[in-house]
Amino acid sequence: MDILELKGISKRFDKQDVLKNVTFSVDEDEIFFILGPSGCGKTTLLRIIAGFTSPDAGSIILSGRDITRVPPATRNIGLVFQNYALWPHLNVWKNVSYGLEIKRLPPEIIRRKTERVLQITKLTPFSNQFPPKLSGGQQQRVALARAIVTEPKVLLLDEPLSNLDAKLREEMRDEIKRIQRETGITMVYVTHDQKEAMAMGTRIAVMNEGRLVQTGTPFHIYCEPVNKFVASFLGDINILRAKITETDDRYVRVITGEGKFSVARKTDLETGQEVEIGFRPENVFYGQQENLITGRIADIEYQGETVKVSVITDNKNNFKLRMFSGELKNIKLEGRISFSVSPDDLIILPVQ
Amino acid sequence: MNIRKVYIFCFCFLLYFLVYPLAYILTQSFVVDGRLTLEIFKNALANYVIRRAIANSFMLGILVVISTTAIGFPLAFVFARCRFPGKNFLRPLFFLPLIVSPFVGAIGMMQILSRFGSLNLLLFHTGIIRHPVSWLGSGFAGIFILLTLHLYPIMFLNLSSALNDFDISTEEASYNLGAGLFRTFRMITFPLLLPGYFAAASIIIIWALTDLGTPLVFEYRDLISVQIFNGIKDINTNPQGYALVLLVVLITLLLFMTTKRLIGKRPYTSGRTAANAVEKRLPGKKLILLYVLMGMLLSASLLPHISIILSSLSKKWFFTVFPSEYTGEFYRTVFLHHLTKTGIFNSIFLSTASTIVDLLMGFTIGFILARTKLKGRNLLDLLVMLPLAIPGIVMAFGYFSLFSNTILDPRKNPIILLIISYSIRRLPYLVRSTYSSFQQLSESVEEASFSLGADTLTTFRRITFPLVSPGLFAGGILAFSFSVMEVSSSLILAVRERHYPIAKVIYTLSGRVTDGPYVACALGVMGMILVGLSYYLSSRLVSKKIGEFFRLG
Repeated sequence: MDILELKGISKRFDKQDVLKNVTFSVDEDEIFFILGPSGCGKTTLLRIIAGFTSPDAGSIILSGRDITRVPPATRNIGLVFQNYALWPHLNVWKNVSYGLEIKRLPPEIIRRKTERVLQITKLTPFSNQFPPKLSGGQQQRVALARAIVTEPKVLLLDEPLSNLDAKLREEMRDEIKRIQRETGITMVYVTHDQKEAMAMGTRIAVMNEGRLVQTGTPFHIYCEPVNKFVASFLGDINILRAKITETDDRYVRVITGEGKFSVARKTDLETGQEVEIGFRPENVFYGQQENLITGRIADIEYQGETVKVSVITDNKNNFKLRMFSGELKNIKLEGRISFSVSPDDLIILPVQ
Repeated sequence: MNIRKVYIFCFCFLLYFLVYPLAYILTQSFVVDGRLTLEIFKNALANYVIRRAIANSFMLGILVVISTTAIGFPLAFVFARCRFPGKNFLRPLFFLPLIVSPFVGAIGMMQILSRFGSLNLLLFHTGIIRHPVSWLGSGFAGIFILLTLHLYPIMFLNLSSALNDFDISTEEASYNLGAGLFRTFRMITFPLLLPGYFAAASIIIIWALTDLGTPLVFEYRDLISVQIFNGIKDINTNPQGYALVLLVVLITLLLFMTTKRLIGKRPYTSGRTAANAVEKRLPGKKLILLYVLMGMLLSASLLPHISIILSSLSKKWFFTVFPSEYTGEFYRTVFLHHLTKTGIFNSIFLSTASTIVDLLMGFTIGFILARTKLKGRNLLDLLVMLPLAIPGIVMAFGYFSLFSNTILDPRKNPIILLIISYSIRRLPYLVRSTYSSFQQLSESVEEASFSLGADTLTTFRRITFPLVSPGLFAGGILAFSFSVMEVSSSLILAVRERHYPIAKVIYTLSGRVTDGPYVACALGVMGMILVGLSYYLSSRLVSKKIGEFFRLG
């Protein structure tokens, strides 16, 4: 069921369109990601949902109620700030219980709820400490605890992990997922880190230049990106110009600079149309004949469990392949290599 | 309450009591009998006395900048870059000169530096001199010494904070590319410190140009400030005062704007945290030299303090190095004498009133500047910072001439004008400290409260105010004590004895032959303790350096 719905949100700042007709809806209990490069408008979008910025056009529906003009204080939407925005003059307990006190709940309930949230976020031992004395990860937890204690309908998170180091970030990913499961809260999570989005997201909305480009599950948008931007923002991809020569029920046949390729048919395409085809570096096979590419190994980049291999064909096309380190023994720098791509792993992208 | 109305009120207040007097001075110095003319300037410059005063004032300003630079630069570097035992103990001692007004110090220093003062007697007794040396000369040297001793901490403070923000890796990059110590200083360090240095130098030069109390105590007349002071008496017949005031306004505005530009262009400190210098440990010989130099500087800069304390306690001090008999009598007199009693009462009343005005307006304007997008707030920012550039003597002169023969005529009752001038003079500090508290307070801290359901008032009461108030009260404490010891507007605006604030009482007493100077010193010591305490309290309230209060732009 939709809990949050955005319809045609647009926003201009200083004659620049920051958001252009953004529409999507968020289901109950999911972690919905808004993913995009910096400056794509995702933080503005979040601030519009929270109510700190008002949209020029469009509406926001929360549980069936239009909240577009409702002030932030009465929206019942939680927010975790990128810089945490903890109150340095209040201790952890006071920071967390603040929202409950604002609601004028009975002291006993405030105490119980605060205790429970501190337990969930593993902050109980720190309840008397002041935020500046806490580590980055602990501050992050306080920010989370403070935002969820009032049981908002939706929790917004604005790049919450961007101030943490890599190892802590991975830990906190699991923490946030666990907290989401334990509380069942709906989260809208903004980030520019595609790994974070794919690891945690139920669904991801990819944004670029103020527009929503594609929405779907991590698997869906990784394997079936609608355009080159989405394809390359989510991971490495090899792209090749192509022209459609023939279509039938199951396959689309194309001709490229590397010869003819068969692509599993997914969309309506016409013969003669110019397109691009792409494949992920890990989706290659060795020793098969279909969709074969041959070239010279120009570079081998060792990355631990995998190896990134750079291949240049006789037609001067450059491809990146990813293979397991165990396969290193089969290849050498400047050696020849042949690989093939399954028709199912080839993606057809519109020419931009 | 509607913020827009408050905003408009602040604007009008500043326009009427700050811009209007300045505009009045401007018109009075260019308009004679309804026509635009440069006559007044020509007449003023044709006057030898005026020309000499201008030349002397400039000379004084430049000399004081040079001397404070010579002291402040090495001192700031030593404290920023070297490690030596006692550093944390020594640092605050170098700020002690700030707690004594130079004009109060001057009263004490007369005892030491006069013809038959302690220094000459000491040198005479030890056989170093045979005839008394005239240390004070015509008084110019005395003013120069007092101002140098009083103002070098401002240089020290500004440079120290500039060096604190300084990213040492910029210097290391220069060394890494093969530049030497001197070249690095000239090409990298100094240019990066320039905004801080220029800000300090501007304050110092403006202060030196407009200090009124010190030359009055030394009875030295050939300075712009004294000429302006004397010009007030015959303001209605002789417009030369206007020309001089306008000259001062122009110089200060020029310095003020240059500083603002220099600081505005400084992107170096923001963004990332500066890599701090590794403090060098000094070898033994250099360490001893350092202590000797610091000791000399400290004893020189504490001389005014020591001299007023000694004077305030001395029963007899004629032709001896130190007083021959001590007494606490003068402190009792302070509380018994009608003049001192009036002065203390007036000053406390005036300062309390003006501090309240400052707290209210400072907070409101700081809030408006930091948190609203009201139209014209940049102009308000400029207006509110203007008093930093407008010396007290100019403001007081403007009030005196503008409000003569009106209901606010200072000759009848200067109380309202004194409160307003005290508060406008300190307003920049309050606005600045509130503004910077708001700036340091990320808006998301308030938004976090809104998103949890709190309304504006609750958020203000529970989040914003507790976080901003230390800065506000620190500024308030300083504003109060500065007002108690405010010199130039007190000297100019308080005409009748029953309206005298402390500064004018001290000045009046210092000119009396009998025990006047001793009582003045006793009052001065009390003022010194008040100012010292307030520095201490406000630095406890805000962990950041008091140096913030001594910056232009």
